[in-house]
Amino acid sequence: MTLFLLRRALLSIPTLFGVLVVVFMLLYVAPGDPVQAMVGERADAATIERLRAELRLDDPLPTQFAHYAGGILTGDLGRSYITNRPILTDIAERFPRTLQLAGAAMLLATVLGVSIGALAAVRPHSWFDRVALATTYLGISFPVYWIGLLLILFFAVTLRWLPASGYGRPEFLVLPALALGSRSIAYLARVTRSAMLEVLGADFVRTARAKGLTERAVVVRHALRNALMPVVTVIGLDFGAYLTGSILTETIFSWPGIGRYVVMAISRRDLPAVQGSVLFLSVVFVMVNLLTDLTYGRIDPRARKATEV
Amino acid sequence: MTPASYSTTRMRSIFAVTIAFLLVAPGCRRADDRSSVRHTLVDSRDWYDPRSLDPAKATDVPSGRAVGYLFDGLTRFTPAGEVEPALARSWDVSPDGLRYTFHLRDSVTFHDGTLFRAKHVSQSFQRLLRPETQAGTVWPLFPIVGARATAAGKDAPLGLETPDDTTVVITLTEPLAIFPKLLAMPAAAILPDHVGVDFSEKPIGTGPWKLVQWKHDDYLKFARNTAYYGGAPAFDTLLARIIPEPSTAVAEFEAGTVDVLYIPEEQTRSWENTDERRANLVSAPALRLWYMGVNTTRGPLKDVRVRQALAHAIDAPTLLAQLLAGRGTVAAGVVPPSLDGFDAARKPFPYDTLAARRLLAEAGYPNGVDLELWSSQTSPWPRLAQTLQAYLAAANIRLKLVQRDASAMRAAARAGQTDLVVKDWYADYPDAENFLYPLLHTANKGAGGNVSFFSNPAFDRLVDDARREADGQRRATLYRSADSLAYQQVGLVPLFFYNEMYAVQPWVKGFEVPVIFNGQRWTKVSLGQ
Repeated sequence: MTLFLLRRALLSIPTLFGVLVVVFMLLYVAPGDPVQAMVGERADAATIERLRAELRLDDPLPTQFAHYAGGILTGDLGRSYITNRPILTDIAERFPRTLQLAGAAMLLATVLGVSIGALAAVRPHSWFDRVALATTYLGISFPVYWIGLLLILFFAVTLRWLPASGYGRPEFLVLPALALGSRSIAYLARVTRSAMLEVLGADFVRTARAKGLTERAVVVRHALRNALMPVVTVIGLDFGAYLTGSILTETIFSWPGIGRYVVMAISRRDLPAVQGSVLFLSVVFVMVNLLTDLTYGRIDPRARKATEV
Repeated sequence: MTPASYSTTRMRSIFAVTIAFLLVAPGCRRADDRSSVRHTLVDSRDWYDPRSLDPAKATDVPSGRAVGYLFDGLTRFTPAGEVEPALARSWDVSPDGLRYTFHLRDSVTFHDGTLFRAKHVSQSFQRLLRPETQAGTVWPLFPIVGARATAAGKDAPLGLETPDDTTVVITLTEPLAIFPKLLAMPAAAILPDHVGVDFSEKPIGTGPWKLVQWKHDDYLKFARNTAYYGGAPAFDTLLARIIPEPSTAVAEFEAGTVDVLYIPEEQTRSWENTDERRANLVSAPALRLWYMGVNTTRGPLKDVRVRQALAHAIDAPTLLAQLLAGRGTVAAGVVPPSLDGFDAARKPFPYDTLAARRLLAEAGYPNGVDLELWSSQTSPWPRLAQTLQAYLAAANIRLKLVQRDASAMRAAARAGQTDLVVKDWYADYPDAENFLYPLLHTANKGAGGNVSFFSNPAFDRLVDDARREADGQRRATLYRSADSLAYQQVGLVPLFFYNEMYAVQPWVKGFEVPVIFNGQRWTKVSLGQ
């Protein structure tokens, strides 16, 4: 187990270095530079030149990269060119909010998606199954942007039950979590349903029923548990994606998370901010994947072997 | 009850409880908000986090606004765009127009209680100019003797003396009648003695509002400065929320949770045509020009006839009506109607595709020309660019559209790599000079704002004379001549002057539309029923 973790951690180093190089190169070849955002619409050439020199933007490419990578190695992500705030402070402020949103969305998606899927599978082709199938179709097809605006109009403007946007007390979390999780709810319901249907037809379920177990025990303890593998995969993938920035949801709901931060940094060519946050998010993504792999072992003894090497 | 139906019922109830929780948990938030509305004004105009509350780095609109709440300059702007005394009570100008003597208010205190003194003016200006400050906007102080040298890191004496605690004497390199207006810009704000590295997070000024909290990407909360010399604001708290999505801001306004809303262009009609929405609208001509920069140094555009053909080929009135819902006036020059120097008699180039083709043929391009039109990627610029492409195609001017984000577009335009670029210009200070000089003067080619690289000695002379002219009437005449000359020479193709449009909740009293970005400081606004 420890060995497995260690090996995975070592393997992720080249991945992260690759991310660093690619992001650096992308921003280097992209037209525009941070000084344009620092000086505003009207500027004088001398100020632009001075700022370029101070940011070392005119240094040769390898020198710039070495300077930057050097900082990373000492644990210093640097300061934003544009705001002059430490990148680490910026991330520390925003990532917990993204985590909160992604966590709530995943919780909602897991509870609702798995329940709907399981219920639908228990009674295939019932009215509940049909309605669930149709709704999840819509849930997968509608863009989050549209769902978000619809939720705002209905719950915030018409009913006035919930705040339209912003960050704060728990009620601020409901609409963005619902919007962000909508696709996962739908997808998880469908994945759970099909996995359950497959498992419910398996021999060991028939055996369990033959043993005289209650239907509840059959469904929850035997069938659901065996149907969980694909469900966990979906949860892991979606959670990783949400954590690394749900830009649209954060924008529609004025949620001050890391997604908006990265987008703003890119549009202003704020190299240290982009690099720092992308690097950080890559680490998060790698870790979520690792956690997903470990979870497989918990659910399925057959998968445990792989993590014990 | 069969086992199967038991489990289904059980699951169904879990499901129902979850849904119920989601719907009911939010509770009754409205109740406490109702009462707080009286004391807090919520502004929704900022769509991104201010860059910095350090005036030296306040180069964007959200920062500029916030700096206006927290700080004062020697002068300031009213919402209508008049310059008025702020930390300076009054000022005198020497007969040669070179020496400005500012008489300062003598009992103003900073938010931390320190008394404002003449030395603060000197320190603040020195700080802005010093290279290590890494200021983004330093040019407002360049008219001062020695300012350019100081900004270049040279140890040059600055033309600024403080004979006593309440007097500042500033010497300029040449007469400049608009100088007091430059001092109302965010960069020229007056700072206290100690300006640490975290000054942007903990700013101390003399302004009508003190910073309470800045939640990045979320909101800025200000409390009124009860000791404000210009009269304390009438309500306790000003909340500048950062709402990146315009549709969300509209929803917040309709839910009654924000008090001031900027109306996005595409929603203009829907607000104007709905009775209850229209009741909340306020609008005023802004000091904002939409135009097409024409690089006069590139290929066929060197020929004035080709540039005139561009102007003839665009149906600006229809464009304004269709694209901006008529929210503005068609421009026949760069000086907006509300400023001295505007010429109401000047008529725009008539929309005449045939005339455009004729001009092209005369210039030696009977088969038309191929050009690139650059625009930013954010709404409504791509649509404007596409419409222009269609208009110009009819006159045999074939456009290739290039869309980039604002940073890349600006860099390319400044470097002279664009043929045509469609953009806007939002005044830094209310004066015709702020349009003519940066957009078209030889001294400002490239980074200074003249992305047309327009260079015309007669025009430069007129603008230079106007800048030096102390008499307002004569200055306006010079501005008019300069504007007319550049218009005929098509230094750029002015399209329209934009109207600012806001929706304001009925309980907000005394709101005046700011024609300049830092013109509204909420000191004359109150909150009623």
